[in-house]
Amino acid sequence: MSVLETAVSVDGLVKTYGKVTAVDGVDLDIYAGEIFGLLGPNGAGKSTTIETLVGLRTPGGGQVRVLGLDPGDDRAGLREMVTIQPQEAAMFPTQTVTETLRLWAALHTGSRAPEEIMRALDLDGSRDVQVRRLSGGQRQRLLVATAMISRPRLMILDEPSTGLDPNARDALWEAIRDCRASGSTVLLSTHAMEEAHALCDRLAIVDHGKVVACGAPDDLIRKHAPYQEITFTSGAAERWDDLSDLPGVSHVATEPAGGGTRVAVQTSEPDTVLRAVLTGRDGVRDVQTHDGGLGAVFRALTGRTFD
Amino acid sequence: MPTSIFRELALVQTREMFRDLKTLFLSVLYPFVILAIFMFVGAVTPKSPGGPNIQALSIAMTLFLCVGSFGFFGLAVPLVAMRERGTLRLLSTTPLRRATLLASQVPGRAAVAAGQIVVIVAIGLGMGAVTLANVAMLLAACLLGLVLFASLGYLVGGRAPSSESTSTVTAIGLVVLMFAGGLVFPLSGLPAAVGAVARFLPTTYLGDMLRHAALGTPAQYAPLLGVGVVLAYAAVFAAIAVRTFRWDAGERA
Repeated sequence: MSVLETAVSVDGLVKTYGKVTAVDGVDLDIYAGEIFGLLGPNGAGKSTTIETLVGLRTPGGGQVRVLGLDPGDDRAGLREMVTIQPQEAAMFPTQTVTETLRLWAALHTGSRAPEEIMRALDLDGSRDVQVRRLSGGQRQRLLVATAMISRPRLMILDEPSTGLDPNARDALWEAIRDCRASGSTVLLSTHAMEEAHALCDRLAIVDHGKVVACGAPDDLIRKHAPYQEITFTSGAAERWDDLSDLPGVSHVATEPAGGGTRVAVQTSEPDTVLRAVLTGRDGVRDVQTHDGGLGAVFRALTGRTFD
Repeated sequence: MPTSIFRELALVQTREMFRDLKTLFLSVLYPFVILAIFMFVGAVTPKSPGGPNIQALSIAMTLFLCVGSFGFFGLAVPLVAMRERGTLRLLSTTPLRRATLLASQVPGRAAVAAGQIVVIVAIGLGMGAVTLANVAMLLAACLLGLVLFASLGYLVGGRAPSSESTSTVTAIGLVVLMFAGGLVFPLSGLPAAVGAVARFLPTTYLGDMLRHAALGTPAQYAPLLGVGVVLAYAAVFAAIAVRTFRWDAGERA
């Protein structure tokens, strides 16, 4: 069995602002070379946790070690090895994309060429555009690019896909995977289930300043939401209450949809439900089967949704 | 200091000054607008016998505002704006050192200020308001002024949270310092209380040097005393600025 090197270790982290507790005893171990996600709704404490790791915020309690260093005492040492794309940050407004990246490349030794990072994040077309004239999505990618350009040992991205269209988001995901492939550890926060599932090797689900679950996305789904959701549309007159009596069914929901009824069945025995739905009933259409995903995990653990 | 970081950041800071219209006006054009206003007022004001040479006084006042705006509008306000926007917060997560950041502001802005001083003095010479014999003294006083206001600019810019209020307060403060320091009217002509306070202000000694060099009137203070006071204040302001400098505007929830 290989021994995993710990890149980030957080033990009982607490942070309060007046009477508000933003982070309430967070424990995390992030291993070198993985993409680790903090998944949770807005206000869950993700940004505060992340910014504490680079010394932008001072912990109110608990211990934090990043690449073996204390971010409070060894901030200067960490700046060489850790980069961050914070949510609240701004670059020089009248500098172009190229000029901005040239500056950030100069700030670190062994940086990638600005052209290379622009290609990776699809910023080629706006290389000569000033920051103040970039769209929100372009500015977000440039901010991520400033974190990526130095080949950091640990790269921290706070909601990196905010404001990105699907194409830009795909390019971002690919660039993040490339960073992992070249040896970086990546910590990112997100409130997008799809992003967390597609990108993260492991993740921690955060709610009200606490980690409520931690593990690989599929393991979390198997453990906390081990059922399938079957959805279909039927004729308006059809009644589906009897599905609740089938073995393994935990929930049946119906709602009017396009002159018929859209039915969602949660079950641990999808074959039984599919047989019951498709046998002897007319007009059933758009049948889909999928697992509950990380959204179901969050619901199972907190009793709430955050979409 | 890593050369490439300093070079890149100095280029960024210089481009920021020239590409933003408001900054461009405050940093580059403001002293010339002020000089034009002073000259116009001087031209339409009836000359009083025994009064000061209005043109020479205008040159001295403009040079005072020029070195003042170097420190306040050239260094302090852009620094505060960077903090306000969150640029300093982002830079604080990089290996950039505080000294490199602060020093990088100087080359572009100091070059502009030096150019402005040379042009203003040349205008003074051209108009016959300044004599060639006094140019060296005038330039030396301006150099002292640049040092003083640079330290004062860093002191203000190192902590202030809002660029708008910094801009307003320093603009008013600069004019108040100019008048209170006896540059426009001799200290002997000001209320005693103002004179008492002014004696403790470094700008009073700077104003005295500028007035003496531009108008050729006797200096109130010995040159060495003036230079010593200005440099001492500059050293104190710089030391406080280094200790109180903040990268961000404080932690918020």
